Amino acid sequence: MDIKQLTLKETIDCLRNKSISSKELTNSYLESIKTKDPLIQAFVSINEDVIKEAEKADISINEIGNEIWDKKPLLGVPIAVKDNFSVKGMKTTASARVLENYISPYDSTVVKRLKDAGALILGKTNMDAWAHGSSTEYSDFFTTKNPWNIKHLPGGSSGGSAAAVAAGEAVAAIGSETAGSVRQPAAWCGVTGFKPTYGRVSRYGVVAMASSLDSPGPITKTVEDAQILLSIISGKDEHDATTIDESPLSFLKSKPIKGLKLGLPSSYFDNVDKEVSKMVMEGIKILEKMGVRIVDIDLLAPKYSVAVYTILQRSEVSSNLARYDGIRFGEDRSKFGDEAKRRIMLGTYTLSAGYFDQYYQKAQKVRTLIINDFEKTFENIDIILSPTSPTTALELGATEGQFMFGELQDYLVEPSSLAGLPGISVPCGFDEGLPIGMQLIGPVLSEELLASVARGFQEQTDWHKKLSY
Amino acid sequence: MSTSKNLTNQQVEQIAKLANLPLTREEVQNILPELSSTIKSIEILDELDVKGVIPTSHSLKTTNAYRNDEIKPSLTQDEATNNSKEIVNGVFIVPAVLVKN
Repeated sequence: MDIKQLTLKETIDCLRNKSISSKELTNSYLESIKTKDPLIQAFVSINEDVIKEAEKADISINEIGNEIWDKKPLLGVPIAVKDNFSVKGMKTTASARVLENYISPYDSTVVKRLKDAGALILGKTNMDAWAHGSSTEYSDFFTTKNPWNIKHLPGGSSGGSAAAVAAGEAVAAIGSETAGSVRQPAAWCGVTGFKPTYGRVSRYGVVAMASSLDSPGPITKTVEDAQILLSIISGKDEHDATTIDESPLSFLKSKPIKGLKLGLPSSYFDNVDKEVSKMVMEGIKILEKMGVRIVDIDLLAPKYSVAVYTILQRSEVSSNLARYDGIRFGEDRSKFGDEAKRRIMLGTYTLSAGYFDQYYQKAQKVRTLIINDFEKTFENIDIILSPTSPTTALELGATEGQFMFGELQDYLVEPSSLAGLPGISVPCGFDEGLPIGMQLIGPVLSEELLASVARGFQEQTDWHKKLSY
Repeated sequence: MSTSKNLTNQQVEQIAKLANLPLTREEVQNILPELSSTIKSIEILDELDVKGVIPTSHSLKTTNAYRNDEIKPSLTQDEATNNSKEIVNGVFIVPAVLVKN
């Protein structure tokens, strides 16, 4: 048995029936990182204590017996975490020079919930610095490579998390999305990325990018795996006042797929690569065979969302990055990379006296129009379906000289992010050896419905089972 | 600041000052066309009529959230100051803001 081929669900089952130990499991991923990561560069740091922690987990598994799984469903499972999540005693750099030597004195809520469920933190994954980007090329340290073709980008900003799962360097990973940073790298790396409703998962202890949008989410091999992680990390948190007052997702009941109405927005297929469109349409045929009805819909053109997102995100970035003064922690402000400087500058401009109404306020009003547009659309349909990204993974160097690479590349995910909606990207084919992703978007709090459809799709297809290794 | 859409060097320097970003002259030169082109691209919003529309600050329309005012353990002073380069007697050393003549 090759441990690295197991899904998270299968891995947990093997730990439960004791066909593998946590130490064997963890060693197998450390070995994989040792062999592959010099090329892929998915990880920024590795938890040096993880083997000791695995040994401890094995003792609990052997001594306590089966009842331990009710309390600790992830006991002994090593999980990769994006480097903007605080892990007590480990470096949290957000792949930024300013935080190069910063060691977190506390756990983020997501990490605390993973640890409380028995999970081990395997290591921290690379990202665009401060999550500013969609490629990992804006990491202040190095660029992660796409495991399907190392001349191509993994996407981003959670590119390290997506590449780690796709390369078999981690069984599952945590990412975060402001507008596309979970779904787009998942699409480019051929894995599943689930961005929950804004406020479903706590932002406490996550290096802030744009606080009115930031949403942590899992990047996994299957929808089922993403459900397992979301059921652990979701739920109200007293440390984050924007979390929704809902119990953690249980995913206990799957929703019927037959008879659902799926909307295809025509503007989401403009300017999309031919082969990407084709494979998404093939995916739609499979869903039709499962009994869904396809309806053409009109949504506000994504170009307005790109502008709204650019203004709101950069304004919030300039405000959030104002705290880095080099006094209490981190390096001084001269250490910001070019992309962070660009974003801080634009955001400062759009928030400055005389321009606030013209830019920030106006963007907030258009944000209302976008939300209304989705609400009206969801009166008649259940789920929106489109490509996740207009292209497959672009080549290394694609971001050079592009001042708005992330914002322009992610135009298919920005509208739903601005509206706080949940979305999931699942693999639906390949073009020239590179994966293609299809996204399902639902109304707020519709994660269970989205998961049912996406899981149904994975039961009928095997794109998600293809391995790069 | 003027309302001209093509920013001037002076405006960029002023924004950098507001942002507390130490930009070199070269960086100011480089960032100027980048900022100007981004500003042009976001002005596409002028095409939309937003008269009477209420701005959104939170996508889910949540209202204020409160928690119980309970005393709970938090970071120790050591833990909270551990990442600073300059700590004396447990407090942060900051640059002077008042200078004696």
